[in-house]
Amino acid sequence: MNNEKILLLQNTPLGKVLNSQEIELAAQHIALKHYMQGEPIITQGKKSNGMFIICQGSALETTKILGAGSTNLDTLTIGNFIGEITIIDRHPYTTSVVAAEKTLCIHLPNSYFDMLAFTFPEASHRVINMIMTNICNRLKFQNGNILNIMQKINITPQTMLGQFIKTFNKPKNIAFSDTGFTLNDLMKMDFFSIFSDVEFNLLFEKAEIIYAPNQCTFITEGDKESGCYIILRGAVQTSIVEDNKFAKLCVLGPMSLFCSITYLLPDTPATFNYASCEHAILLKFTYETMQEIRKEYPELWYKLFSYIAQTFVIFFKSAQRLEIRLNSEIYNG
Amino acid sequence: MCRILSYLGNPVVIEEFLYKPDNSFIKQSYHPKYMSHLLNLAGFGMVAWDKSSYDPALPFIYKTINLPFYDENLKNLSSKITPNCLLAHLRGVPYDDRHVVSMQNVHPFIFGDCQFALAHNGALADFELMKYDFLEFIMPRYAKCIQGTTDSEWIYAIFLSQLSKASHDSIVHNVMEAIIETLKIIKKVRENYHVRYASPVNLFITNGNLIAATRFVFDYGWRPLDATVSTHFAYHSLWYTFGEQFGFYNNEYRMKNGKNKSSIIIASEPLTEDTTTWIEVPEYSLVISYKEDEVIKILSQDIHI
Repeated sequence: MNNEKILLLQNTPLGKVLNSQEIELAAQHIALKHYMQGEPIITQGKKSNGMFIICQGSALETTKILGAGSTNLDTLTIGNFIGEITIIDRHPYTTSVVAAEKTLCIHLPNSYFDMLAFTFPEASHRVINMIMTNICNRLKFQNGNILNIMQKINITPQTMLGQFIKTFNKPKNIAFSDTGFTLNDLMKMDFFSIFSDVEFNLLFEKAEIIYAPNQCTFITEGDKESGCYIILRGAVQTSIVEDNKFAKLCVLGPMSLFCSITYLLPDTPATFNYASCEHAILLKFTYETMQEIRKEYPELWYKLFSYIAQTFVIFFKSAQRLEIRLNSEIYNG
Repeated sequence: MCRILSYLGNPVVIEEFLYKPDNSFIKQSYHPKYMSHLLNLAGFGMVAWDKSSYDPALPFIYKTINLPFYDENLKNLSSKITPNCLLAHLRGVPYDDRHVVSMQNVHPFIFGDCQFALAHNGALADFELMKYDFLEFIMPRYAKCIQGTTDSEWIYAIFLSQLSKASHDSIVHNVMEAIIETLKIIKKVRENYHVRYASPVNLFITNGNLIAATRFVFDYGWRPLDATVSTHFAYHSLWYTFGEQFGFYNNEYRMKNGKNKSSIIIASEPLTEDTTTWIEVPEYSLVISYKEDEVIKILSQDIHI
């Protein structure tokens, strides 16, 4: 039975990122699941119990969209993932998938990914990277859809004064003592608790600490090689921008990490605009520092990458909501 | 922190919102999904407009400081009243004897012969320090109506005063302008007192014909370093769903997806565990919904103040 699982796994996209030993390990944790035509594989709104990969057959993906009812999204075939977003955020499934014919799936439970992250962080990183590449390509496509909608609808563009303020407002470097925190305070926070003491100290050694007034832009759409930021206090607004018209994506508050999509899709410049919506204190890691961390401190990089992945799943879901809203509301008209 | 529910649309018996769904409004008093650390046990209130009732411009008003899940009168009324517009509020306050639980503090607030009612989810930091400065912005006829100890009632009085000055032809735009002006006034007084900590202001305002709601926080992301965990440090949630009619369809409570968008619910959190047919309103937003030719319109605007 294990040989069958190994063979099937090797023929999936996982086979490209895991070595033979890692495939054998995965085979011990996965299950093979058979579905008859019409049988649900995952159901929208239900708690996640992991992801699936189609090995034989095909499945129909649908979603309930506000204002549009049940909508067909895609026909999934051999090698396609099902429910992979939930591996990153562990929220309920966002779509329903039903077998279109007799279908065989590999089921990778959440526990497998937990085990992998804890015991084989490098392998876990490769798998998450693969999932996120898939999600970010979909996000790029979605971004394109939203830009098309924004071109057609009547959104009031930003004023000249608004533009000027954003250009004029710049962050400034401050001392750690000006943040109001102690290192002990920060170490105890959930966000930093995943880092070892050494990694935590390294983060603060490598970071610039900056204070940003309200309406200060950190990353503009089209930027390449932009930095990575961790918000300590205050908040940052992400937006999609088309011809000086802004459509809000989401707000990131304290203990959030953000960066451009370049960290997930290397040749893709930033797709969103990131600006403070409150005055804020942040840790800033330049692009060069992030490359250094990636090369020299891989375990630290994997942990930062897990936060990058979570942030981009938030963006992905926010973009879905934005598309629905732009079709239902008179927005900033 | 509180839970709020508003509805505009085809008549629906109130129990469909308050009791029946798996995340019903009454259930949110003791088991809110989108709020940690606090239960909503400091009072329940609602205002409801029913076009088929005697003097339909005047809403039903029900308020109690009793625990709503034990309230037989509420259960009975809910099974009978079928409003086309509803605003209901569950009050949540910290477990502290400095907080006054009384009928005067139960939302929604609706002064005398005013058309508009208001409910608030959130709290203004250092309100006691600032409150008398708000008097400058409140007309005397509204100031004398304030009976309770909440910041919410004062926000209501400021809103009504600003609304009285608004001069657009459209009531929708007057309400939007009055809300923005209210927030600007609060911001100005906060600045005068150097109040810099997060203060959520999710307002729900209705007159039976429109609903306006804000999802807004002053100084989000800033809290005293020695503060204990509080629900007010999170960005309070706000959701909506719309469709033809809210009810039990295909084994679940949801908005029926018909030809016409004729009903909308705007609420602190969805009424169902399954949130797939609800949309979360973005942060720093004002949403206003009204009917035009029997179809629900939704205007949303970013709040920049």
